[in-house]
Amino acid sequence: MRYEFSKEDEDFRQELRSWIRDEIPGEFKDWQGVDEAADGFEYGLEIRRKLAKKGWLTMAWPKEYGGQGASYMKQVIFNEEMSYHRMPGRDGFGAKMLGPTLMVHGTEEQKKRFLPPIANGEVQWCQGYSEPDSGSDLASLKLKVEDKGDHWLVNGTKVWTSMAHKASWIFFLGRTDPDAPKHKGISFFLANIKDANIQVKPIINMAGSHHFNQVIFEDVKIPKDALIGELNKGWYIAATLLDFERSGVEYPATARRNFEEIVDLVKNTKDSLGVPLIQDPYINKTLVDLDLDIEAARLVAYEVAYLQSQGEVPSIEGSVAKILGTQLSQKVAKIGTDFAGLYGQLSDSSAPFDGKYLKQQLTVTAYTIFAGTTEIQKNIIATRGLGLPREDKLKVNSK
Amino acid sequence: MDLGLSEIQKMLQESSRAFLEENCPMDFIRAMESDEIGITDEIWNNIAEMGWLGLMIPEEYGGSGFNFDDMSILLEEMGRVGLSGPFFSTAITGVQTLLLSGTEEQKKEILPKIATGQIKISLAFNEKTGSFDESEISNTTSIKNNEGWTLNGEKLFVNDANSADYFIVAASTENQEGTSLFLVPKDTEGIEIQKMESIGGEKIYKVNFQEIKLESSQIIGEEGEGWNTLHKVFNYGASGKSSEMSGAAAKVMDMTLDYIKDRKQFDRPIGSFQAVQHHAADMAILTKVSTQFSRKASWKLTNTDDADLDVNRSKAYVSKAFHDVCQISHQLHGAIGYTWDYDLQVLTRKMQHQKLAFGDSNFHNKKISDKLDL
Repeated sequence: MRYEFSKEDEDFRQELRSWIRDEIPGEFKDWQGVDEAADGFEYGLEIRRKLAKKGWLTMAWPKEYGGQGASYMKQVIFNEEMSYHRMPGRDGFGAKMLGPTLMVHGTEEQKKRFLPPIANGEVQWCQGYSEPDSGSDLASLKLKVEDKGDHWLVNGTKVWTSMAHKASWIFFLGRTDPDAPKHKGISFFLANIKDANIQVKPIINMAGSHHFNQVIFEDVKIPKDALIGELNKGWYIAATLLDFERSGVEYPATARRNFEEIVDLVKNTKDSLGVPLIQDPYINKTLVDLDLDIEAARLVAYEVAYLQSQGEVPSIEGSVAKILGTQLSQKVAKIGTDFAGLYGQLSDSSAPFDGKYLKQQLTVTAYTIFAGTTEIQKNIIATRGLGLPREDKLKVNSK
Repeated sequence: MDLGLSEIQKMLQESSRAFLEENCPMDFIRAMESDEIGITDEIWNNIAEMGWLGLMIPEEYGGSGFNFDDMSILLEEMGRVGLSGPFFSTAITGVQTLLLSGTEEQKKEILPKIATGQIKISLAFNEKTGSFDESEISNTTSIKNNEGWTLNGEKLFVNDANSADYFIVAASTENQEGTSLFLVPKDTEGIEIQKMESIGGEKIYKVNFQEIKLESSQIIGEEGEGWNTLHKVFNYGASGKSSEMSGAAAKVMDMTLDYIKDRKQFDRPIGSFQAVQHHAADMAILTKVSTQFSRKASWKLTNTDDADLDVNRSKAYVSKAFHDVCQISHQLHGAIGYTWDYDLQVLTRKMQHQKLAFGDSNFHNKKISDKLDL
């Protein structure tokens, strides 16, 4: 048992932290971060290239691919500090998902062509998994990919595709065998999203932001070598266990920064009698509860990374971390809005934080839905973790 | 970061689970609820022989010199089976008080006998309000005289007063400006004890100290400095109760899983229904987080000087979480879990003491608020 990071890891944290604080334009405490899916995209890419030069963008990659083979705990620290400081530049799709998938399943040519631009922070990828009729039941996806001899022909629609409007490439799952059982007729492909027959249509979320899109493939021809790995093995390729921490530590790290900022304002805001709001026992208690929730999510995130570092596959812990982290994001956004009385409904400069947390409240509604809803995560905990029988697999003798 | 157990901790976990499951099954725990002491001589002697009582006592005083985080693994296991009895009073709060502030003579005299099971200790701190701040000590006084002190006052919520050989009594100094701790043999003239009925079978007493003559050798630590010691002892207490509760939560979880996998309605195990599964997942989350909080607190207490906040967080979270776990478990057990004969309710009743001892959620929430300067 040791609930502290090693000296080496803490040294890395300090090095990273001082680099980040130098990079942040202006004062750290005023820094609000940027929206990388909107006008902060270019700035995010700039930081990404700097992270690449520092060797941090792909530090989790094996050394043979130019990475450092960094430990899970070091990755946790990296994500914790980046999130806490609201730094853009990380590359979830390219460096974290596609890169490692290519290392395991790609041909030499595919690796040579696609890995260096990811490692150098030069390319934005997006991920085409969900479809209009395939959300939680992803394996039911229908996007049709036909073998036309010298090319693949793609027809269908992807949806909720984050960053598609900023990306130059998309990796996606398509149905290559409509007659096989649903998990066994899916393949994994790459496509240049700028193809004339691919249409990217914005979907504006309820916060008024453009983060995700509909991606429509209409008779899109992609080359034969756009297939990654074996035909009809795409479901398993997409689920390849990658040597990346998946602790979800970014949720509590982000929340801790927001917590500190909210506490600061609550201390400096007075009620109608001139008493600082922090002295309101209900507000005070709400903040203590929030501290506990942040700490809970952080402890479980560390546990996920620890289990990964031991070569174990965290199943229940990963789901617990996702549930706690995303619920936490929603709590913070609500608390950051609700203490201010009627001002909590405003989005102008008289609102607390200029309405930032109000907007965030709308944005983070998606968190408990994306990447496996809370309900799906609980199903995973119950069936894979606790060994309870799956309702849909049960054979019942009904009389 | 190493969230696994050390070899010693693993060994302790395995051996204690094996011993407790075999020797302290639920019918034993139930019998101990109405037993005067709460443990049999046989089990107490076994516990001493296995080195549990002296686990944290340094070798020079006859113990095995392990740490509190090792002890916390043992406490998880005791929580699992629901064993209360005088162990906690003696081996946790008693030992820690003496280790922190006892004189060399006191340590030499008492610690070896604790390790062998000959001596039991009980901490007499609480008074009328049942809180864990220094202001709780309002009517117990120690008036200095030529030979030592005269002690007067009434203590409430004194655990295991009946079986104790010594009390550690917290009293205010004559000028009311501090707290002193005294080691008082139970057979001292002027001590009267009276039982308080606890719902979970804990042995809780009112203890009246009337005109107790104390010699100068009976003080633990410096006069008026007792609170510094008590504050640390309460951290061990709160952390230890968190460990018990996280162990008990894991047991409640196991009982519930067994039940919902087995119990059939509508021709299928009720554990196959998502409504039930999601309750089970919630229990798993609460249990997992409780274990992390309590282990982190015990590690911090063992290895650092700034464990306060983590202890507060642990006791605040786990006290609430374990209550929730019990509540969900009862919901999933349906009517059967509500009966006296079914074992689940034994742990539910014991929970009430565990979550209140050394500060409930409200108490620790307030401390967190102070520590974070909210």
